[in-house]
Amino acid sequence: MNPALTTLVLARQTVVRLLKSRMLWFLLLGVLGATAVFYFASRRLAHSMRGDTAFGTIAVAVYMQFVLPFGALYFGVNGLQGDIEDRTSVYLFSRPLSRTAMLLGKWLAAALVATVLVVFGLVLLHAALAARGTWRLNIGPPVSMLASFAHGTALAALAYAGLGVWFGAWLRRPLIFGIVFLSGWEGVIANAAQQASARALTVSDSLRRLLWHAHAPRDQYAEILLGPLRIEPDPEALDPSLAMLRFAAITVALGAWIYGRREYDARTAE
Amino acid sequence: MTATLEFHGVSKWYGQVSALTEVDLCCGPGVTGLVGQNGAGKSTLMKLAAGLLNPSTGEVSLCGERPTRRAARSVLGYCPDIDRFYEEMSGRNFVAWMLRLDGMTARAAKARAGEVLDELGLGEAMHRRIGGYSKGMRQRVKLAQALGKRPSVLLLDEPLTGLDPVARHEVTQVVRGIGQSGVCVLVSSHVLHELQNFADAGVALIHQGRLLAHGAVAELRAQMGERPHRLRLRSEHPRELASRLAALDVVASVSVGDDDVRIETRAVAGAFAELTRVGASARGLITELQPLDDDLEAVFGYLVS
Repeated sequence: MNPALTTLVLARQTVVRLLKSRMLWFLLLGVLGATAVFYFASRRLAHSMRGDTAFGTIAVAVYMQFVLPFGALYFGVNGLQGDIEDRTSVYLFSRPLSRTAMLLGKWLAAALVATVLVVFGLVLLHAALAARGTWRLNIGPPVSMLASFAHGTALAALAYAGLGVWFGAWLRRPLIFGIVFLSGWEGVIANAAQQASARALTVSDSLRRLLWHAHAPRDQYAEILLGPLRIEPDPEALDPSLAMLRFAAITVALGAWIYGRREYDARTAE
Repeated sequence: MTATLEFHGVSKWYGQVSALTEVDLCCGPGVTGLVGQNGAGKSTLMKLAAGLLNPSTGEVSLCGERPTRRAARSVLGYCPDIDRFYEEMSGRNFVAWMLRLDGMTARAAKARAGEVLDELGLGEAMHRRIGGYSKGMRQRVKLAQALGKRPSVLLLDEPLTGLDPVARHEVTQVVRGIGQSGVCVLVSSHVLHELQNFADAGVALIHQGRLLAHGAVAELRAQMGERPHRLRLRSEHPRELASRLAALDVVASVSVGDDDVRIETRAVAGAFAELTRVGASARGLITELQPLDDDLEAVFGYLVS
């Protein structure tokens, strides 16, 4: 089977597998619960902020900082490790398939599932906020924000899923290291590093810059994008879309290099 | 291209643990049995041949290619020892999907999946979920995904496990047929007498990671000159037979039972000539002759001990 077809077939199979993942349904339940909460809270929020600020702030705080990175990383790890752990990978590894193509399929599937989940959550959030209340200055959440959030979500999902497949191919406990990366590296470097070159090593910095340039945010939305040190985006820094794609390419390449050399069940002697 | 599987000086370590040591083995067309106790290194050998593991030292060659290469895998059929599946799939869809990954078109894969499952006796159940299959049915699905592509080299790791006697016979017949068609088949099993029945290209005996012997069972037994051959002779006059046999130089020891005599001999060819002569001398003296230790189990037991 040629590599492109292998990627597509494996992507499809991984999507089917991920749709049966408990974590997906748990996150989906969380998304629905959050939508309900913000639906009921929107009237109170409308007194103190504009609709675009409310939508942007909640979308970043809930989806961009939590659901998206954790979901995409988990799906990346699970897509890659799921069949290694249950040992069904023996059927794939003994067939004339390119390992790189297999990994690409799993990565794309993980990014796709995470993107669909988050965009679905954002659409629900937008609908919940738009449906209720008269927002401050009569400015509701604009539909156009959804497009840039969807754009950022898709790119960040590729990057986080890339991290997931890399860790999945490399580490014995990829999820733990992934969570450490998200809460430690991403949290500290993206928020506290003064140098743009250091912040460029995170996905969240690129994602925030992308949203900053797309929305010209204000009030709480601007604060959450600037972080606690209120560091404004460096105009000289690499384009945020390219930065996220670069991050994805590097992690996927590292994952493919390791996955291609991986032995099946090498840790277990007979 | 002749279907071959070769191991040259192959060793495999898992950290400090040696799973295989300096294995040299060459398998050609036909069914070769791989015999060994649990933990002997059979599955490691199979995984090396399937390209799932890399040898620590030495080389494995599958039809002239390294098993990790796609060209080698395209001629390989592998039935693993693990009982793992995509449980929610039907048997037919699973096999068809595997054949699709082997490079068949979707339509050809479905048709071939139905055909091979039918051949293995799963025709009626092929549309049911694998999760609802019995152990024997799951085993046959595993076999089907390996046989479906019509491989040149077929690796079967414990393929008879979980099968009932009828299914064992059917699978044995299928595998024997595949071996006779020129495919290089390597079958591992600890059910020695069954392996002996269809390993027409000989057996490889493996113990504690070392290849002890490789060849036809009879040849291997004949090479063990220092081991006395044991024979059981049924007789209507066992005491008379025992006294005659005790006088023969080729007979090392004699024991008498109610209706039989058991002897040990180191010169088996000479013993058979003498036994023929003794048996012909009086009616009912020897009614049946049964070698007790020229089967695979005995050979394996001798080698291991």
